[in-house]
Order: sequence, then structure tokens, then C-alpha cells
Amino acid sequence: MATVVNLRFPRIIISVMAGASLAVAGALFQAVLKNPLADPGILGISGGAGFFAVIATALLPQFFFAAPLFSFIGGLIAFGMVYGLAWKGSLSPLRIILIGVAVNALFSGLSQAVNSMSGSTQSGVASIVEGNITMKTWDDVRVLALFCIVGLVLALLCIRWCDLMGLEDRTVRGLGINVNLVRLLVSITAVLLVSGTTAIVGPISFLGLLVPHIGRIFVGSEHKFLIPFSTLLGAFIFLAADTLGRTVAYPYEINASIIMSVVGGIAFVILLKRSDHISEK
Amino acid sequence: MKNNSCFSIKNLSFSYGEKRIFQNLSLEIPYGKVTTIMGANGCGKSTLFQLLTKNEVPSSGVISLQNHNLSGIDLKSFSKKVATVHQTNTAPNDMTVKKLVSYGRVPYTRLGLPINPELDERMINRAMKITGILRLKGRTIQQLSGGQRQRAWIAMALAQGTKIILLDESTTYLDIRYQIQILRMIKALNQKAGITVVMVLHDINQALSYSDEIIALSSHGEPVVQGQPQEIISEEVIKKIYGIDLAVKRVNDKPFVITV
Repeated sequence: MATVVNLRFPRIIISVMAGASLAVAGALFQAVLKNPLADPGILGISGGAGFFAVIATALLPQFFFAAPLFSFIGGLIAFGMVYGLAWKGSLSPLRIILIGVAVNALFSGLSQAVNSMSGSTQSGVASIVEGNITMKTWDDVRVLALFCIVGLVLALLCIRWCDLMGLEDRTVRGLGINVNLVRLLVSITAVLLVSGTTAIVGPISFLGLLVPHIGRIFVGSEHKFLIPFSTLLGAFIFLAADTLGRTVAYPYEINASIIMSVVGGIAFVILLKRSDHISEK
Repeated sequence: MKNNSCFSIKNLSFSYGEKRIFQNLSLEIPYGKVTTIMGANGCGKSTLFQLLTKNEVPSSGVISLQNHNLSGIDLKSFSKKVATVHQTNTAPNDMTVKKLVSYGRVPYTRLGLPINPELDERMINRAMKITGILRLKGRTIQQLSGGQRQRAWIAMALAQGTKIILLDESTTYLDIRYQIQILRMIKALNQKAGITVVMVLHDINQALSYSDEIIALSSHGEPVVQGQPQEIISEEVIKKIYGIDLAVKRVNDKPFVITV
């Protein structure tokens, strides 16, 4: 019984919160970057957050509890890089994805380098880099809960802004809204959601892309429906991915991040083919 | 500064990077009238709109709105004074007309909550009635024709309840029927509701017949002429604005440019 409570429960709760956080972060990024293909993983936000969590875990293992804070800083730096490099008077959807891919490659490469250098003794590093959530504890649950709950509450406050961002920047400005400030605040909320998750479960790609897309099919693009729906569906899908990974090759386990990459990669190609206006711009 | 001035531009200079758009431009746009800015492609009409709507900031010089420096007016106060319909617009495909028009009330919210919901509702319905889209209010933007969509954007601007409206090429890409419909509606808004209209129009003759005042810019962003259409338009002036020889004919003393 104690095994179930102390091994299974934290893992289940972490999966649920991670899935919800990433899905909502994806919805927020897609709204403020006006880019249906925005995803914390593809944009490199998860990569940056993961690398800083790895650095914190490898160099300052006694401050393991501060890893999510480092991760938040890393996520902000990655976002700053993507945004700064992609900005050319306006944000081209294609450009932002390309820069994101490069930033992501940089940070995941760095993370893997640190993982290789630190050897097998640093299991904390390896579990972040590989996205392994088998050995999670109640401490991890508490840390993630803090980020997840604060992030989700902030995301609910962003709902009206996210809807407005569906219009052109200058139109929104004409309605008396400081567009750049709104974009910054919503993005920071999204980075917060991503970094808490990444520090605990490692970088996960495609979840933040897929869930809001499925959500738009079912509940439309209004964020008062889309954000709650993404919260639930994201939680469900990540839990399903983790359960699938745990059972499909029993007694061996496939990490949920790997399941998400395989399923998400295929879905990303399908979405890319379907969204015509990405190729036009 | 004159009392009847809506926008007053003094010694305005502006560049996009290396490209100089305006140098020492000074203009007065009158209050209470329909003013059209004419000029060839690339003369800076749209840039001038971006400057008037606080989307761009002058490199030097001053733009004033009713004797107040534009840079000192915050976005929210500005959005209660001036509404703008830009040249290109996007909205989520599944957004309803009513929802889009209701965005015109965003300036009248505090912390995201409406200050006066009944007034909002009245203004939204009035805007949809004036633009003739009341019966379309439940439709989504995707389901509208080009003309209906354009009227929905104008309705959103009307819902802002401002005394000044800026329209950037609001009739381009529309059938002639919708073009005239929209221009007549604009004229009526000016005459019945006293709304100041500043617009950019592509069609020279429409500009001449629906405007009280014409401001013509040369291709270098310098003012060529300003005044009432029947007084200022001549073959030389057209040549100066567009760099082409076109005949100007008068019918009932109103000038028409033969644009072929």
C-alpha cells in the first residue's frame, strides 16, 4: 500500500499537473504569438528551462529545490532569444518557428553535454534530460503544484487578453490596450507554467501544440472555453502517455516524453500540412 | 492653432530605418468634416495613419489631437477619442459579428469588466444598425462576404463611440455596390452624427465626390494641395500627385478625373 501511495500517486499527480500546465502554456503562446504552431517545446522554451534546471541540479545539488526557479530564468532567456531574434517589425509565424527550433537545438544539446559530463552519478540530471518521472516524490509534487496552480490562475486572468490578441496588434492598440505589455505578461505566465513542469519532468514537446488544436475543434477559439478545456485534456493526454509508456513494454518503461515526441511528431506534420497560411508568410 | 482643427501636424519627420518618409511635414486636418488623403503608392498615406493612431512615433515634430500633444495622450483615452479601421484586418474565423463589434467597447472597461453594460449593449446594437449588419450578428466572420466583413469592422469602430474615425482604404477590394454603400454610410455619419472622418481612398473620383477636404501628398511625402475638391483639382495637380497626365472634366461644377 505504501508503495502505491509513495510511488504511483506522486507520478500520477505530476503527470496530470504537467500535462495541464504544458497544454495551457501552448494555448497562451499560440494566442500572443498569433501562431497556431507555437509550442513550448518547438519554441525552445522547454529546452532553455531544462538546461537551467540541469545546471542547477548538476552544480548546486544541495539547492535542488531551487531548480524550478533556475528553470524559470532559463525559460525567460529562451523566450527572450526567440522573440528578439524573430522580431523584424512584426512576427512572421515561420520565422519564429525556425528560430525556436534553433534555440531548442542549442539548449537540448547543452543539456545533453552536461548530462554526459556529469556521468551516471547525477541521476537528477539524467532524469530531467531524459524526461524520466519514475522516481518522483511528494516533494516534487509540492514544487510542481506551486508553479502549476499559480500559473493556471494567472492564465485564467489572461483569458480576455488572449481573445483580443486574435485581432491585429494595431487594432488592439486602437482599443486602448498596450499590446506589447500584454504579450509580455501572457508570455511570462506561459514560461512560468513551462518551467515548473520542465524542472520536474524534463522538456516535453508537442503536448502544448496538440491540445489547444484539439480544443479549438471541440470548443472553438474563445479562450474562456479553450483554456479550461486544454487544462483537462492536457492532463488526460499526458497521464495517458505515461500510462501507455509504463505498460506497453512491461517490465521496461518508455518515458512519457518519448511517447509525446512520437505521437506529437506525426500530428505536427499533419497540422503543418493543413495550415496553409504558415507557408504563405 | 486653429479651433476647428482635429489633427494638427507640425514639422513632422519620420523614417523607416534608412528610408525617409516625411521631412518637415505640416498639415491641419479639420474637425467635423470628411477629409481624404490622396497620393500615389508609397507616398506615406498609410504611414501617416500609423502616426496619427499612435502605432508609430514621429522621429521629430509634433502631432496634436485637438490641441493636445498625441504623445501625451495615453492609449485608453485616445481610444475613446479616435477609432480606426485599418487596411487589413484579421479575426478568428469562428468569432461572431456581435462579438467582434462588442470589442469596440473594450476602452470602456475597468480591469476587464464593463463599466456600463447597458450603454455598451446600446452602442453595439446602434453600430450594427447603422452599418446594416444587425441581422448578421449571429454569423461568424468566416460566413460574411467581403462587404459585410468590412462593415463589421466599421461597426466595431463605431461602437467605440468616438467623434473621430479614421478609415484606411476601407473600400478597396470591394464590388462597386459595396464601395458606394460604405461611402454613403460614411457621409451620413458625418452629416447626421457630426463625426469627423479622415480616410485614405484609392479611387480618385470617389475621393473627390465624398470629401469636404482633400489633402494631396506628392510621392515624396510632401503636401501638394489642400482644400475643397472643386477648388483644388486640376490636370496639373493630378500630374503632381500621381505623375501621369489625366483629363479633368467638370460636371455641374464638380471635377471628375478621367481615369483611363
